[in-house]
Amino acid sequence: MTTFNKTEVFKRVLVDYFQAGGGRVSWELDPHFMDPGPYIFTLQVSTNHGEPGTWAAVGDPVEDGVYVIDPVQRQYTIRTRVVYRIELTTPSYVYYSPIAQVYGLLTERQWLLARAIVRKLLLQVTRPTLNTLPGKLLKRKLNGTACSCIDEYTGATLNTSHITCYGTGIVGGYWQAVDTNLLDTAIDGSHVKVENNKGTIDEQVLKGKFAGLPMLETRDIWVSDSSDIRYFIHSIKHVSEMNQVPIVTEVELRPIPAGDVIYSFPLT
Amino acid sequence: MADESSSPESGWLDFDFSEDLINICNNGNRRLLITGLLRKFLITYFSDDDHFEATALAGRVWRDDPSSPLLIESALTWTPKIAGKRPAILIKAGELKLETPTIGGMQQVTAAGTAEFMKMVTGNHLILVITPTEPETEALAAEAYRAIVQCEALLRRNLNLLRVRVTGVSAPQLSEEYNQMVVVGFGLEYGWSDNWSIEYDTEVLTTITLL
Repeated sequence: MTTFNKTEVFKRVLVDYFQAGGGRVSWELDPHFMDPGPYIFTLQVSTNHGEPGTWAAVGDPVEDGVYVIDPVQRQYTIRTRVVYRIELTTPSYVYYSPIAQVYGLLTERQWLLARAIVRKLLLQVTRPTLNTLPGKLLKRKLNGTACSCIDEYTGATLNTSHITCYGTGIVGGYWQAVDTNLLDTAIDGSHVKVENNKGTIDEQVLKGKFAGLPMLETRDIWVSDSSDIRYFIHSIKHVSEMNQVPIVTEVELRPIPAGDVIYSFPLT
Repeated sequence: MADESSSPESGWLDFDFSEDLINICNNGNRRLLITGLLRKFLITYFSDDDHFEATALAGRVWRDDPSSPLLIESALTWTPKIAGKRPAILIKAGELKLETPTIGGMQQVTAAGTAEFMKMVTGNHLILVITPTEPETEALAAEAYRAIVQCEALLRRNLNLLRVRVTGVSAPQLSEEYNQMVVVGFGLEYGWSDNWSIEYDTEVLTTITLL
């Protein structure tokens, strides 16, 4: 069994100010972390480099979330003193993430450039134009309580139609839906055809761009608000990245057939 | 489990061969008939989870509607209503080989002068099991091929075939679809003999006399 130090459960924590309304702190858990759920995340802030005794909770705890927005401006000077961390409470233990600085992994100049790039893209993504698709992102759970449908030898699910884990093998299947608009850049043609070893298939590919964070992974799901069609994120390319912080992400999405269990996942 | 007293063929798997036999009697053995027969057999098997050996597959029964949790279909059938549905068991017809085991294909000439002919026909079908994960594909494939293996003798006898056998199970392969799929295929080989006779109205000409 893998054991974790308290800070190792978080793969990385990022802080960004890319969107209006405050700073966003997003995180990614280590894929091997398998504590049973539910996961309660609490954002904590320290105004002095994480000095003991300076940590204070920000807002309400979030259950099964992927990011938290801190609406309060905390940085007034040039010197960066404000740092964040995430407190993760599971039924087994309480974990803390490493300290994340307000600028994340970016230098100030990089951050300013990143903000300009994202702002430009967000202008396109948030405006109701022909090629902007409002939707929601469902991040696939990689951690949590193993579902009863998993194969005891491989750990993968034996039932991809299972309503408890939505075919992921982890109870709950996906984290809470978060609003994420897609800038639709290209739609390949659709043609219902018969392929030799696949039977009848209807392969469509939708290409688009997402702005900034949260970080995407293949097999996450994007749901179109207008049609409720759900798409697998099939491939990801960070077309703009600075110091490993994704600024603009280009994705290839593929629609999931209507009978799939993922259509039962509640979005609210 | 069906009530054993309900009919002589009731038991673990109730499979009605009567229509297939009528088809064979009317049309002879055909490759499409084998495709349909395999689909019918797999549908019968996967329609009731009492048939399943693997308890993990409980509830994964085939239903005759688009919301069925399992697709069983000929691989080359155009089914737009349920395009891309997974998990799926697809049946793909393979090559037929016709062999002539005797000189001129003739088996014998009867006392009445009727010539009887015969061709040996061997063919194969590939059954593909496709799901998004390896364990699910392996479990479904094992269930399907073991069902056929256990009924090989029954199928051979009732359909008057000379050979029915599962020849092998492929390694799991990845296939790119809307999600990454895992495919396992297994081959089924079968054979029959086609027999027919010719009654000649006239004798073969041996002498020609020019006047």
